[in-house]
Amino acid sequence: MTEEELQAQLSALPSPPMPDDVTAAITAALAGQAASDADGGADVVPLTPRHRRRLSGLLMAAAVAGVMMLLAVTVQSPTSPTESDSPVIRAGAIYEPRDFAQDLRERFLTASPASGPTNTFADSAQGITACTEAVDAFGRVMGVDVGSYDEAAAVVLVTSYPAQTQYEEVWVVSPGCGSGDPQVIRHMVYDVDASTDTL
Amino acid sequence: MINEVSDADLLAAHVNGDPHAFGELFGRHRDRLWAVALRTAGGPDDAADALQDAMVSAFRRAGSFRGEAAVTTWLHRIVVNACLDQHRRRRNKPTTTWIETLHETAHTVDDMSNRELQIELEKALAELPDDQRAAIVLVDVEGYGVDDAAAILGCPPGTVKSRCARGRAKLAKQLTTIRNPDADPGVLPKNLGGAGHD
Repeated sequence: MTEEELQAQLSALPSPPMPDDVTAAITAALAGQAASDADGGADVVPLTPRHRRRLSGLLMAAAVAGVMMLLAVTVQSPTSPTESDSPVIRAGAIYEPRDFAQDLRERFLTASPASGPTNTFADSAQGITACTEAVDAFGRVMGVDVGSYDEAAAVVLVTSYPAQTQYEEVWVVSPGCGSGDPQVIRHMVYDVDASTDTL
Repeated sequence: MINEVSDADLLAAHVNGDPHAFGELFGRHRDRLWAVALRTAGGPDDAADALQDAMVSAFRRAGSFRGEAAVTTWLHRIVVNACLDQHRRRRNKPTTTWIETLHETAHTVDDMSNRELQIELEKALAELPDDQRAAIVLVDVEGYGVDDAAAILGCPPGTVKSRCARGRAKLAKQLTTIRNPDADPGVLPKNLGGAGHD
């Protein structure tokens, strides 16, 4: 086979149209984004069907997850914050739903660590890896805060956003995330540039 | 007629608040974006996820588009980056079973041997390194010019040519082995002998 023949074969490969369900999912995601913008530039991106599938069983598993929260302590040694690719571990911030975006910026993204790792599974290397896989988070883990959200123990997980440095993805999960079904309490995408002016 | 509106005008309309403009833009290019995503991400599930992420990203950052490249180039660049990121994340989960389905549904008149060759070619394409696969998908499969592919991939045109050459050499070598198992795999096909280094 010559190079020309190979190129001819490559150009003849079929290119199927986008499936209807994919078109519908993306159209819905864009409509959700437009609605979010119309509401005043809210910082939360609507969950995609992929995420909804993952979340569909969470309510039923809430009781189990609550038990897992109590059990998920002192399982692994903490991640070393000195490793260049290691996430920043910041422990103990208290977040409130109403002011979450502002809290996140002031108490986590721009603040000095309140304390180091907490020796819990949630901020261990193994725990972080398991949790990011469980919630299907994108990108590299940038920071983990084992604190509280809405007066309950929670972990705030911040990851880079795929292909776009302008955004960061934020997950609020139960402390047992990664050791059982992920209990996603909140999921949002930050526009980092905009947050400087609006948060 | 909305079809007479350029892509750049649609994107500008979206930035200025037209709630339907971005959807129209997506509708215009969705099939070609899907074709690129399908082969760059490595399968339909990852392609769907990556494409959705990419479209939401493009929707949100449309205001940063400065018109230095075509809108389609800009869209493809966001999609390819998202797909490569997705593929890297799931590298240990190869998904090539979709290929047979693709060819079953897409072809009705091709002879069996040609269909089998295309299936093997798809599988070999999926095994290429990410950078070589992306270059070949854009240039050879989707027909983009080298300069456009370079703009999408964010690298010089010479790098695109090099990646295509190396990728083609690997594809040809693999196809030769499949079609003629007794052949010396170290002997590259005609016209491709000098491009096998990596």
